Amino acid sequence: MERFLNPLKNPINIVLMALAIAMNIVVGQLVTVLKLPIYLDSIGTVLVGALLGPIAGGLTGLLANVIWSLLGNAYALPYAVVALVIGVMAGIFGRNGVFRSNSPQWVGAAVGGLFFVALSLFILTFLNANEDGSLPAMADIINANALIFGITGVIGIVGGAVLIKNGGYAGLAGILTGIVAAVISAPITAYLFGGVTGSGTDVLVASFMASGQNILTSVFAQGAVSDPFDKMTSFMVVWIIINLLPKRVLERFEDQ
Amino acid sequence: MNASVTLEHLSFRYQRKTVDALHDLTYHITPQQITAIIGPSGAGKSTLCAIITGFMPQFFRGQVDGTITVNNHSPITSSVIAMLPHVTLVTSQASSQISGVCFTVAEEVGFALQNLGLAPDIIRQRVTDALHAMDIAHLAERSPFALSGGQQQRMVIAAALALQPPVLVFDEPTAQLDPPAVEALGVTLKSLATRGHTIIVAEHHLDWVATFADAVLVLDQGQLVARGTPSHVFDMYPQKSGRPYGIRLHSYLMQQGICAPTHTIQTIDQLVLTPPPDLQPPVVAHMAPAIATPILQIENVHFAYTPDTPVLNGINMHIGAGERIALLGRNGAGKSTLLRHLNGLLRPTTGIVRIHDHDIARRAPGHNAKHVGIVFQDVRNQLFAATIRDEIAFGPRTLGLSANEVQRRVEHALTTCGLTDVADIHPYDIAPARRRLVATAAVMALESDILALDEPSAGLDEASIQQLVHAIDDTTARGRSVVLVSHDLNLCAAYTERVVLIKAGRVAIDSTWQALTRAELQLLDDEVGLPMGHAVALRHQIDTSTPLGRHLCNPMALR
Amino acid sequence: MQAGWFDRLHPLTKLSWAITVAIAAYITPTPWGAWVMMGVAIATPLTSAQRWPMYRTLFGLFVPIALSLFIIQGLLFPTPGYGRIMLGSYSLELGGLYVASISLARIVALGSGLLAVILTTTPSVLAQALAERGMPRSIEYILLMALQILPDMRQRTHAILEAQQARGLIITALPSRIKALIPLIGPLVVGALIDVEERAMALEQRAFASTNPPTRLQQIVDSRAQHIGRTLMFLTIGGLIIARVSGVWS
Repeated sequence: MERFLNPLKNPINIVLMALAIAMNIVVGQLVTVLKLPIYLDSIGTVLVGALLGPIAGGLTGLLANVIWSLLGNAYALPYAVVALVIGVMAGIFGRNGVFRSNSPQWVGAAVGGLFFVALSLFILTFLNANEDGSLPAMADIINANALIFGITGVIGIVGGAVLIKNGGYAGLAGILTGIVAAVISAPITAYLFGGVTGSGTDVLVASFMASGQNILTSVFAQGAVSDPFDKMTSFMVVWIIINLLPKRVLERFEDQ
Repeated sequence: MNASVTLEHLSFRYQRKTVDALHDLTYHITPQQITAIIGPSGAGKSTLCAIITGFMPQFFRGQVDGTITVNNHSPITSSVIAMLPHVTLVTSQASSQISGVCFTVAEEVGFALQNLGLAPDIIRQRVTDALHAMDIAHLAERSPFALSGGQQQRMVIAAALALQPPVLVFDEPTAQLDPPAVEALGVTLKSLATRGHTIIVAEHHLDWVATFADAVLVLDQGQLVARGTPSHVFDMYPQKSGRPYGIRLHSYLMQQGICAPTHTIQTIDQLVLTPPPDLQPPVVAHMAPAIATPILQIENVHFAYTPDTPVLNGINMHIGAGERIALLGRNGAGKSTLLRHLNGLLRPTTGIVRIHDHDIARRAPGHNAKHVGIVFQDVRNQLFAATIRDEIAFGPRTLGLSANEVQRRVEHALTTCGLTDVADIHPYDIAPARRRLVATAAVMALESDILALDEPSAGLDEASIQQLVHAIDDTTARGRSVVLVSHDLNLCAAYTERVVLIKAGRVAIDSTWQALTRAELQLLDDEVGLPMGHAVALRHQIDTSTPLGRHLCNPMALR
Repeated sequence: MQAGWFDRLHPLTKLSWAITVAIAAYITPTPWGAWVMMGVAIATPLTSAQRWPMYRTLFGLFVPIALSLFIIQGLLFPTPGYGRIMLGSYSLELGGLYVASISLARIVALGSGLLAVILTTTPSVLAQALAERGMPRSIEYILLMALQILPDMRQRTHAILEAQQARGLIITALPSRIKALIPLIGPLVVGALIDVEERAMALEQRAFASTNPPTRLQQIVDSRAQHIGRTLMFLTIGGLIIARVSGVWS
């Protein structure tokens, strides 16, 4: 009986982690086939975190990156620490019931609205950088582009109400995780890989640099634009799916 | 080996449940025999298999009362690994029993022995013996994932045999197998029993049980409701056990005076036909009318996945309204490929598929769903909703119907498939057999002109098959057609009028069950087998157009 | 193709080599450190049976990266004092190109080292080598299981797509593709979670819970020379790190 208490000794956990790693890769490929502008390549990690907690979640993220590199994506390995953190954060949020609770719909709308406004603010700040690379004050940006903020705010609120709905807490948790992920992966990309990953997002980095920023800031800016959105979507997909699971499956994992 | 399994007032209740899954079971399983456990879906067969193997109460938490002894050990107080030298379990889904850690079949078969730390030469010897016992020595170096379903099951059984347990438990082993593999499994289990193993098999496949089992236990709602030899049980307790097709045919023939009313037979090979000289042909219900305008036309369709592997070599076929068609063929003959051409999931390399005269290759497959709905074999690939009602509503909603229409269709599908009592329950919280009905109801709700079912009866108990048949009747009564792709030839003969055989990518037979010539019967037998009545006709060289032949091929004989 | 000397090395030797080369490429002061290590990384497995697949993959992986680097650091990274070349209306910063070439060399050193290990070592042998040195068995299980289940899961995704399209799912316009996410991911995840129980039961039946040390049927060949080699490599890495951190090298 006691061997079930150590997460790595329980065959259920082991199988789940293995399947979750495969899920990461397969769902990531599915999203490419569907031609959607997100990665969604940590669904499995977030799921394990939500069901089994931070240790299992972190381990799943770490091993998932190891598997990625074993499949030939050699440059996935240094990001293992990012995947680990995502799994740990998903686990912490999971232990606090984020994935099992419904938020009131206005929370979903508010999250959507805030997210889009913040995103626009972020992008506009960088695009309006001064000649010497310094960033203008937020207040100036808001005043100068009030109409744009109004529109994005409305789009965000409506989108949040419709798409996020009652998953507001999960969405918020995802955004936070995405920000942390961007913060941790920026130095890795900047110093280890010279600021590039060979994918389409390099264009974004290039445009931030063109507006006068250095590599680290540009890479972080790119991450801050894509990672929170990607993780918000991942967390919400996991939230939706956990609420679609039969009771006996949830009970099986609750007992771990 | 002389291992017995003894149950004494055994009861088990799963944690958080209010009803016993097994209640007060007392039985002694005789060693060196095949004992079958039958009963409706949800009766507790799988629970009993798991408890014998040692999975309770650690793996499946719950309350155990009474005792159970397996080879003089208690699986309740022992863990699964401690019971491995005495008993192992093989379930129906072979692919889920592959460990995933081993890269060759030989390694997989010896994996348990490796983990137990046995010496290398002992492991090698036992693996060789097990591979030979299951006739898969030639697959030793293959990847476990590169095998067919039947081969994977043999590998899993070999892995169990390598542990040399005297007791072998099987939970619905025939569910995923085609008829030749089903027969081969029976022969294998018989030889294992002869070598001294005690075999316990939970099954829905009653004809298989009738042929191969030495003793039968009938479970219903966790209780033992009948026991005895197969003929005894099927004879005395047909309501509780269900009736194998062989028994149904035999009863019908006895009723018609074609067979002497003797004691029941074990297999149809034992049938002795004594038809009266003035035998009248049966009155068979009028067949579907001749096709006026076909709904679906397949014209000279060729298809190849890659240029050098042609699969379909010129298929010509029409499907009219209200038809019931059995689509038969060996694995690899092209049935599944043809099925996917019906709704445009695959497009022909040359040739055209028309629905209501429109070439469906121009439309996305999703748009063809309102004309052709397919229920695929693995329902896990389809189910994702939180309630059965939502699951069924998904199709109509995706079609863009009004809320009222969606509701109407959902209610109709629930009623037709007998799911009204579980409408608000999660699809995975009901028994597996009913889950297949959920998948069928979900596709039926599309109310498409043609409904195709891929292996709809695999793993279904008799009650669920009856429900399925009811749903098929409802569909065709409304002028829609049903295509059954199935290995269950008796089911096909009982409930479809038309039979289409695909051989080497071509239509080899396109006829009604009643009108099959002797040559066609032979061809069918060579390719996939025959329903029981037709098999008897072929064996006794009786023409299907004679009164005796008509009786043998009467679909009512199998119902 | 015949296995070369590199292929026959113990997995951990190869792994230590890849790590040493990668760390050396990043830590040694530019310019020659990165370029030399890149050369070492590419040249060492020259006689390997896997050299063509390896070089082909390398090329495919790093050409897009080289391109991006060229643009980002060449065109956009003003480095006063290094001069520039004019290409039409774009100015190429020589300093940026210099930095880009160093970055590329480092990335290639890291990537080709790992690639050489991956292509010349089967996963089960690599996992066994690590397990013999103390990696928990359960991690070995997770890694190997994930690798082998992957093709199976991909097939399932395809089957799910078929089954749901047969129910009316459309994936043409963007809104329909977004709505298709849950009907496609849902069955995959739910199906996998239901499967977990049966697979765990199978693992139990394979004596997963055994406390005995497992019997390995395949012995991985090691040699004293390699053992010494690995120790030397670790000492080298340690030395490099200390040298860099203490400021002896700038």
